[in-house]
Amino acid sequence: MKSPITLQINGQDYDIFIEGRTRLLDAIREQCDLTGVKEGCSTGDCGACTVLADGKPIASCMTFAMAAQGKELMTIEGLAQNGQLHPLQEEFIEQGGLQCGICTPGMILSAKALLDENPNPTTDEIRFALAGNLCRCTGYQKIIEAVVAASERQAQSV
Amino acid sequence: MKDFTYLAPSSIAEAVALLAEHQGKTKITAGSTDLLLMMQDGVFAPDYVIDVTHIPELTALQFDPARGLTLGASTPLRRIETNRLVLEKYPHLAKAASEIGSVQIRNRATPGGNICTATPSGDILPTLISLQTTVRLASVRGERSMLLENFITGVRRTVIASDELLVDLQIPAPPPFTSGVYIKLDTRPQMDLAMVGVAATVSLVPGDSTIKNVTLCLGAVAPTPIRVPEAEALLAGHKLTDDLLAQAGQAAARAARPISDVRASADYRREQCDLMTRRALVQAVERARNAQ
Repeated sequence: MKSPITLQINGQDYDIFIEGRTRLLDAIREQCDLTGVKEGCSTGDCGACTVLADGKPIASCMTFAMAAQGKELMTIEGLAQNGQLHPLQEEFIEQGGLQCGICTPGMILSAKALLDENPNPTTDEIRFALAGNLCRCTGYQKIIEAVVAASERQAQSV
Repeated sequence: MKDFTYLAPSSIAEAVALLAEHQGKTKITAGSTDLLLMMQDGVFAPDYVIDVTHIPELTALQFDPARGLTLGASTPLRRIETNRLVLEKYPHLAKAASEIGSVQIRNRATPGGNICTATPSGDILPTLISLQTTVRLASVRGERSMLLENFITGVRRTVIASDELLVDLQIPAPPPFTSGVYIKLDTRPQMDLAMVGVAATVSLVPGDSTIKNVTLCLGAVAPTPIRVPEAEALLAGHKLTDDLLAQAGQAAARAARPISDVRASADYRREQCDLMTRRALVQAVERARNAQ
C-alpha cells in the first residue's frame, strides 16, 4: 500500500507516494527524478548508491525510504552551489579521478563526508573512508590524489 | 520483496505492544543493512516492519563508573567506533565495530542487528562476550536480562521470543589495569567477513603484570562465538610465559569447531586460532598494563 511521505533532498522537499518496501535508492531515482545516485550491486558492497543522510554516507540500496523521513539527504546534484562545482568535483576532473563515472557520485559524497569531518586526512584515512566505494576503472590512485588536492585547496581558501 | 506496513514507534511500550499485537508477523529493523537484503531474497516476508530507531533508550551510549556502558541496541556502529569514551575504556569494542562493512554500512548498522542476526562471523560478538555483556529484552510480559553468550544459541539462532525487543546492552565498567584486543583475520582491511576473530579482555593485578582474569572469545570458528574456559583457567593468577601462551593457544585450537568454506579451510582456521590467541593475549596484557 502506498503512503505519502516527504523526503528532504538537497534542501528541497519532495512529497512522494511510496510503499513500505520501497528502497531509498528507488524513491530518489524514480520518484524524485534525481538520477545521480546509481544502482550497482544492490547489496551494499559497491557504494554506487551512496547518499548523505544528515551529512553521513549511507547505502541507499539497503535503506527503506520510509526510514529516511526527517533526515536531510544530499545527492550529488546538491553539491555544486550556484553553478559552481565543489572543489572535490573540480579535482576529480582535474586529476582524472574518474573514467566511466558510475562510481563517481558515491565516491565524491563519501569524500565530502570525510573532509567535513577531517579536513586534512592522510592517504590512509582517505582509503579507509572510501573502502566502501568500488571503482573498476581508475585503480584508485587518481581518486586519492583528487581528494588530497581538494583538501589542500579547501585549506588554502579558509 | 513482499510489501509490508512500516511502523515507527517512539517508545518501548509502544514497540512491544505492536510486537504483541502482530506476533509472528513482524520484523524489527534499525539500520536494515541485513534485513532488507534478506527480505529481498525472500528469507523473511513480514507483514509489519517495526523501525526502532526513534526510541530514545535504543540509541543510548552512556557510561557510568559504577554501571559501566549502556549501549542502546540501535546505536549506529560508526558512533561506537568513533566515540572517545569507547575508544579509551573499550578499545577492542571500537576496533570490532570498525571492522564491519564500510562507513556507509556502519552509519546504519547496529549492535542489536549484529547480535540478533547472530552469524558466526559477527564482528562485535566475540568482543562483547569477552566483556561479559548482558542484554536486556522487553515485551508486554515484562523484562529479562541475560549474558550475551547465553542469548546466542546457534547459526542465526537466539533465544529472543517473537514478541520481544532487544533494548540495550550493559557492559561492565573496566576495573583498573583492564583492557583488551580484537584481532580479525580477513583478506582485506575492510568490507570482508572474518575467517577467524579473537577477542581477549584482560585484568591485571594492580602494579604487577600478573593476570587476575582473562576472558577469551573466538568468532567464526563454531556455530556461535565461543569462550575458551580451559585457556582462561590456566592463565588466571599467572604472569604470561611462553609456555602458558603455547598452552592457551592450543586450548583455543582445541575449542574451535570450524567449518571449511569459500573463505578458509577448517584446518587453517584452527591453526589461526592458536596463533591469533597468542597474539591477542600478548597485546591485551600490554594494553592492560597501561590502562588506568
